[in-house]
Amino acid sequence: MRLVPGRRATPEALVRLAAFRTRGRAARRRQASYVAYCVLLLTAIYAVPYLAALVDAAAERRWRGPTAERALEAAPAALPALAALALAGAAQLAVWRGPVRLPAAAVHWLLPHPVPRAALLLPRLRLAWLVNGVGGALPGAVVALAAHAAGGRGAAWAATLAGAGGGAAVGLLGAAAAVWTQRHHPWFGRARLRPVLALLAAALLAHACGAWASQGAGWGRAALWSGPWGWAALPWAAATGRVSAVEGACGGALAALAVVGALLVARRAALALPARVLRQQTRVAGMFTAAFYGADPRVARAALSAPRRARRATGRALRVPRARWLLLPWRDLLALLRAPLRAGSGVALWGATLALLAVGHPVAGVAALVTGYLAAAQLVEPARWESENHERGAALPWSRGALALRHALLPGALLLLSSAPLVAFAPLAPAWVPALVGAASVSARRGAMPASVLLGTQTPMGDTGPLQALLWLGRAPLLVLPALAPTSLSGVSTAPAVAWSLAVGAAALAWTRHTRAPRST
Amino acid sequence: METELLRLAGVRHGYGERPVLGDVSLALCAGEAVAVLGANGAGKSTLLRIAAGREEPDAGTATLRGRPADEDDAAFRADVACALAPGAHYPDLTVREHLLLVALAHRVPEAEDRVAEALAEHRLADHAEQFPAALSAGLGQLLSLAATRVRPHTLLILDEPEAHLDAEARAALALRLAATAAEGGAVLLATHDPALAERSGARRLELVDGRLRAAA
Repeated sequence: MRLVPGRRATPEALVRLAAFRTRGRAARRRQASYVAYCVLLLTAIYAVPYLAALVDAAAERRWRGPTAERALEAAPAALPALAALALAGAAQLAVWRGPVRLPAAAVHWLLPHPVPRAALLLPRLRLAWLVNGVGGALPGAVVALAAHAAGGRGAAWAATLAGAGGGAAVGLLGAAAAVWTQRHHPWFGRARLRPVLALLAAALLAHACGAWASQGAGWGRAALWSGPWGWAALPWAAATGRVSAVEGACGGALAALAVVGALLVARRAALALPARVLRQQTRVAGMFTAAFYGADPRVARAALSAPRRARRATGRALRVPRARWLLLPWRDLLALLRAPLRAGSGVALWGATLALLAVGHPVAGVAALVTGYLAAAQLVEPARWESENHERGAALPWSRGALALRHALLPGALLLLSSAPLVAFAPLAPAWVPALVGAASVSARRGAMPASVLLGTQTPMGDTGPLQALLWLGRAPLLVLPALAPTSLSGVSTAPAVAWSLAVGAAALAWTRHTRAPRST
Repeated sequence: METELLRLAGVRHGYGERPVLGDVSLALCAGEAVAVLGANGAGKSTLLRIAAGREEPDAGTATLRGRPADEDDAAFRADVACALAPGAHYPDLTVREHLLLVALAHRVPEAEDRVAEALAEHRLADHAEQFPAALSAGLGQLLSLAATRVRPHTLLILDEPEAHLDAEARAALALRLAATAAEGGAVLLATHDPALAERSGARRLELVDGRLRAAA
């Protein structure tokens, strides 16, 4: 039987889909109710007491003081900067998790068919508006209350209401920016909005710093009138007497118009969202969520960068070395060259380490330990590939322990070579390298966290599960860095400090050799 | 005179510095089936995605009835049925309900009957009330193929439809593809199974070094 195409697909499909899913609706509602109950409970326990204290403080303006006064003077310049930062953040987040998203099943079973896109996407857009509006209003109200507690003028209720309104406006503008980013997605072409918003936020932040330094009222007024991100704060500025009531009303009206315009633009953009963006974002969000629930931040981060990696040019490869012992350092160097941001971060962190060591103060020395570990962690990153999937290293002729030590060669060489010329200023730096690289290698090879780690014991202070998880994730630096810390104390002579550092380094490298990531099932 | 449906003209496409398709041209008419063979990584799936309007080529054009192939065009989606890659399912919908959803999305008259036919054709009748998560890989593939049968289309695009299918299922698939072409539809498939291509009566092309040529 040859089927004749229908003139227009009908939402009847969606009505029937809802009917089919009635079976599971009760279970989904129970789950949603449980989540809502947990959120309300946590809010009641953690947020309500603080909110109550804030309201109390605001009523009596209990936080007054010279610093609070200065902060209030700078607020008219700072609030537009924060708003612009929120817009830039919303646009950035929309790259991988836009506000208009479909579940994976809908992407596969509805998107390829002539189901009206409006029926699929507009409900998601409206939900995003609600979430963003409320999500902006609440912090707006809290900031206004805090400002009032710090000695803000005018009535608390008026300032809070104005703050909530301004926050809601910024939230809705953020939703519109996010949908626009989805519509003109950077993975599939040039996107101009994000860089513009980022520049705007940077400029306004610099402006706010200028306002803080100079304490001139003109700075604030300029920022408040600079665009919708500032208009949203004008009602609050009027309620607290920083601008006239007329300015406040005009600002509020302009902000409302801007929001309406942005929402109309967002609606059009949502209806024209390319299916490939929806598909890709569903895939990335799924991978990220799975990694998040597995408490594996690195895999979560990798999920976000996967679409970019798939499109990046592979570039020219380094020539393969003939010496066998150079093979893994060659492989690691290639990985670092293809992740220039990571390599650059490592170099910058190691530079900070050398600078802090040159200061010669114990506190700077401890800070140098932390930055040194972070630098080593960036450079040891290629070693994680084998711990994530044992099959990757299965074809190589070395044991896992030997592989771990070979992966330490390149980071160790890079850190040693870069610190050797500066040994007169930072004599401990080369001696710390084995320990830092060893600790970073142990962390790199830990693999996915076993679920049993999260099962804690109930104590009067609470469940030990989260603490156990943190200790498991950070066990290498938590053991190695304190062991190195005494060497950074003043009064410790160089030779024993170097000897002790090298001994800690040898122990850390031995730990690396014996660390085994749990096998994934 | 046969009506030309799909035309790929001078299509070039690559990923980063790696070219995949180099100057591919193809015309597919109503009543015709074309099978694209080639080694792994030859670019077959890329070619199908471009034909299905899911990717834009770096150069060249892909048109359906003279209009650009664009999956975001509702008319294109009404005309073209695809089974390209396995996807997610609704965890709380049975096999039958998945197919009904597709049939209703296309306003197929007497959708329940059509779905029942497709279930029988694809040996899914005994699994109609199961959830897709309980299906084997082969049955999941049959579900994807059944989803293309419960809806109207003028062009059917399939990527390795023989994956996970047993010999009997492949033979039945070949017959269905031949019937689709005989009824005036067009079929474009990528396959590793030359016998499937032959039994479905498809014109066989091979993708080698990014170019299409007649298969040996």
